[in-house]
Amino acid sequence: MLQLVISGLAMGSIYALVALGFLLIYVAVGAINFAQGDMVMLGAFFGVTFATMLGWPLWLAYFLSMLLMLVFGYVFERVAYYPLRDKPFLTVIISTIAVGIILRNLAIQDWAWGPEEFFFGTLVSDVPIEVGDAVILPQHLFIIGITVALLVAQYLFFEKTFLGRKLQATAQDQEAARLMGIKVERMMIITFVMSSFLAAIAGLILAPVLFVSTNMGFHVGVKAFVASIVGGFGSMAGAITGGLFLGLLEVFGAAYISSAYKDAFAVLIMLVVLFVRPQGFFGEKIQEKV
Amino acid sequence: MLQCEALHVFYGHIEALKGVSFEVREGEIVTLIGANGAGKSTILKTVSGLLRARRGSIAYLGEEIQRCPADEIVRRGIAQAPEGRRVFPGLTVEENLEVATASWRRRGEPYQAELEKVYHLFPALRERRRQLAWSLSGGEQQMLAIGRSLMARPKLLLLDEPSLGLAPMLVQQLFATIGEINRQGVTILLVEQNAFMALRLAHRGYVLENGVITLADEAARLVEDPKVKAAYLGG
Ligand SMILES: Nc1ncnc2c1ncn2[C@@H]1O[C@H](COP(=O)(O)OP(=O)(O)OP(=O)(O)O)[C@@H](O)[C@H]1O
Ligand SMILES: [Mg+2]
Repeated sequence: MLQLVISGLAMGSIYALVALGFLLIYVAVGAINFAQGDMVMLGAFFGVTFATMLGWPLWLAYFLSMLLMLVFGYVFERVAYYPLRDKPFLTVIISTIAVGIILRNLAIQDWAWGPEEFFFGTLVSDVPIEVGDAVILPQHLFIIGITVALLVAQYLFFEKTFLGRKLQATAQDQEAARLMGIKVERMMIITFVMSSFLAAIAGLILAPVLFVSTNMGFHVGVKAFVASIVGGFGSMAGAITGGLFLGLLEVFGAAYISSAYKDAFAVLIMLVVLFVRPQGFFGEKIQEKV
Repeated sequence: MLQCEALHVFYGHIEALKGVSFEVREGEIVTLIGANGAGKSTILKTVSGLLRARRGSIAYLGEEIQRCPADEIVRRGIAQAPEGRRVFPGLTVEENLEVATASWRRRGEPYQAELEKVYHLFPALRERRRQLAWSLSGGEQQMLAIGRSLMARPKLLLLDEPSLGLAPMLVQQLFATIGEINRQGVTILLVEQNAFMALRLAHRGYVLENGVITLADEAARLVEDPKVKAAYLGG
């Protein structure tokens, strides 16, 4: 039981992190970044390259991977968002879908990482901890701990810093923010870089429990999207609860019903939520948003 | 202080400003009056750098600012309280005021002096400073919108229909405060549909119709103008 709860919360944390990446960009530009999941994959692959392929120390792999993903976030904004910033949000969404497809197709090439699955080591111990009759993976605890730390850091950043409040103002009313002398372009870059950074961390902490492959991001992205809808799109509380809920549901569903239907649970739950409570646990109604 | 020459501004194919010229001198209150859709907001947005004129020039303190990004224009001293108030709904009153210091303030630099000035002009804001902006009444939101634009330390303040949707009593108060802001040394360009109030407060005025300026004069003389009386002052 404890074992299931911990691994459910760990998976849920990953979904929550990716859902938070969705949220950052959604709030700022009003469009959903469908490449968020593939950015998770990219972060994990960078880690694999440095640690598994080149054999460099794990902490260095973490550091370099995060650094590269910061750069990626910047390039992503300049190439896939900035030229389209005055276009309808659907155009931006399509652009992010395209980026996701391109990333997956490049990653699977032989000169890149190819179709295999890669191992990625853990920063903590890989010896399971026994508590009573439960067996807990230290990496799961690590995932939960890092997620909590990131959430707290992000909360403090948005609420307690000048830059955080300027980002909030920009998200709430871009034109008014311009009139107040806020450099809106710079705020957009920061937003994309932050969500890319979240994706990098999600990829790096997820990699040791999942194996790294070109489809991992797509999977995680879909789940996080479902989590966002279940929790309520557009709210931070929704992203977190939706993620954790979905993680727990999957693990318990797999244990007590059947693991073959693991992915079906997610979709089923999303449909139920869309029918019964379209605004999710916390959010506004989706129809009103779109 | 501000000279606009022959501004032509388009929305797609629609020409909203068809060669608008006007000027604002240092220390003045100048008002721009005109009916719905005349192009008043378009003028202010163009001065603030949110819209680009296809032709024409905007000189501020002797320098062309047409090519400047909006944040640079604020930094040089032109702030705007836009139509419809546009306060940041999810930020508190004080946070709204704080973010408007973005043009001049480095991280950690104090802004207490500016804050005190705004609270002095609008004491109601001080009482509500921890409240989220969406929860304010219309009048309070308008005070916040104007107070917020003052946090940018403007030399020239653009006000877009500050009286919109306010009770007559509040409009009186608000206009008195706008006069006070002007006496503190801020030049004001005031866009209004409430022509009577605006012309009583202003030194000079312009009348805008369908993207063209049709009258320009001392405010006192515009109030007496038969055409203005007929069209904007209810006969
Ligand atoms: N975003 C836009 N796209 C297309 N046309 C626009 C846009 N904004 C304004 N217009 C048109 O430009 C003209 C001038 O509009 P503007 O908002 O400047 O008028 P206004 O004088 O401020 O009116 P109001 O008193 O209603 O605020 C109007 O005919 C309006 O329909
Ligand atoms: Mg207007």
